[in-house]
Amino acid sequence: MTETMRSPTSALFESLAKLYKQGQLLLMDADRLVGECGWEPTNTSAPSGFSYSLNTPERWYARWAVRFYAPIGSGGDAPNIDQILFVSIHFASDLIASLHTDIDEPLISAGRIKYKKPMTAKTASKNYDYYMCKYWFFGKPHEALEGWRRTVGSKYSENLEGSESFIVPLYEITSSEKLKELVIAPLLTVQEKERGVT
Amino acid sequence: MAVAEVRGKISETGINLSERMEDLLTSDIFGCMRYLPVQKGMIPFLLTARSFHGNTLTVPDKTIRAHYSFWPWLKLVGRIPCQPDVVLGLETEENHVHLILVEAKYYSGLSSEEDERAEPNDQLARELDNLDVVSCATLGWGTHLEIASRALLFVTQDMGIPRDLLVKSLAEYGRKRNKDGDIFWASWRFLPSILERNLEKESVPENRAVMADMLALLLRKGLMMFSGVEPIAECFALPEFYHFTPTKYSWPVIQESLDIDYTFEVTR
Repeated sequence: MTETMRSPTSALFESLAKLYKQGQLLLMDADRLVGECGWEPTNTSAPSGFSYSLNTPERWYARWAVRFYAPIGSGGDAPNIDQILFVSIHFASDLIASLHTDIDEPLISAGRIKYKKPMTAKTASKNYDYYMCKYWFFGKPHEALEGWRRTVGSKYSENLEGSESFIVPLYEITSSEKLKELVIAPLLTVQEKERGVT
Repeated sequence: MAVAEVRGKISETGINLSERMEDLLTSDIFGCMRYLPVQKGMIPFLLTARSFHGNTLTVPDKTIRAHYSFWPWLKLVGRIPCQPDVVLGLETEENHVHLILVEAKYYSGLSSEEDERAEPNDQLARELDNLDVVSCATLGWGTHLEIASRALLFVTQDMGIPRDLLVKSLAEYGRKRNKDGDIFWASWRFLPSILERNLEKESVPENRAVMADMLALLLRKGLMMFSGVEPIAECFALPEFYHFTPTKYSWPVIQESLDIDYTFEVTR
């Protein structure tokens, strides 16, 4: 079947697959870029929030995908994780969810989850979750970081100080260089400034 | 030519095909490279490699011949045997050969880990160990050739160097051989852009055909780097799908309940 003879349904699913493929490559490139600066992914998965239930078809497809990052070499017993970085793509609205989001054009949201006291990797793994990549949608404007938003505390984690995050329209990421310039650099600059890294 | 099949990596019936995906990919890509002049594919690919310690691969300026050994079984004195995917030899004038031992992965991880033996056993450490002593004669390339440099190249589908894996392999090698090693890494994903660039300027039809096939395979497998996001251009509209529904639903007639005689006898 030629391109022009595709049925609208076929075109719809092919486009969806291509959009997800681009999302996969973007997140893999984000892994590479943050990896060059001393951060590594905390796991191998990306999308989440699916439902196998017949009753929730709104969750049969990925509305968002996220990568979380911890400092390289922080996997031991020493408590040296005081923040987790993330880069997420929000493809579509997540309306039937406790933290619901309303998306028109897809967005990238990147930021960091900050903790009061440093934790081991094992403890840290219980103190962040996939839904935290949605914190920008519920945050208040950040006083110090222009264009960023922040949230404070969490009833699910006593040690969670809060989050700081920002968004970039997905379609503005037209190259790997743009990903670095618009997403990775701002994300890393903030925590490097805080640590006094030049 | 499917080198993997020739070398017995894929069974006659193809029953082990799914678990041999990386062998098939290696066979397809490095097998095709063999039919191309090295400057058209292999050399540019090797130049993308970086080592764990940040070095670039030694690639000769002028290669007069390329030697390939696919899945050679290396059984060398004082070493645990190994079977790298490809051993490549770039021969220059004066009978010098730059030896590159290639270990390629697609979905699977390393096939062996460090153990208690005195010799390195982690797959990459073991290959590094064998690389130190392998000769051109062992590989069947002739006894007149002299090895000018030796390198281990790890090819994966990652976008960045898999440091975690390399740390472990180099640690075992260093501990058991009391010297520092280095492992080079390159990604399958670096190849499509190399092939695309070279296809634009390639005029020999036979070379173009090989390069186009390699490119098509890599793209089909999604082995590319991130090059930006393109928006969805079409508008997909699904009209409201609520329609008139029946006003009356019926269920199958259920038989009246049966009378069951629950009288039973207890036996011992």
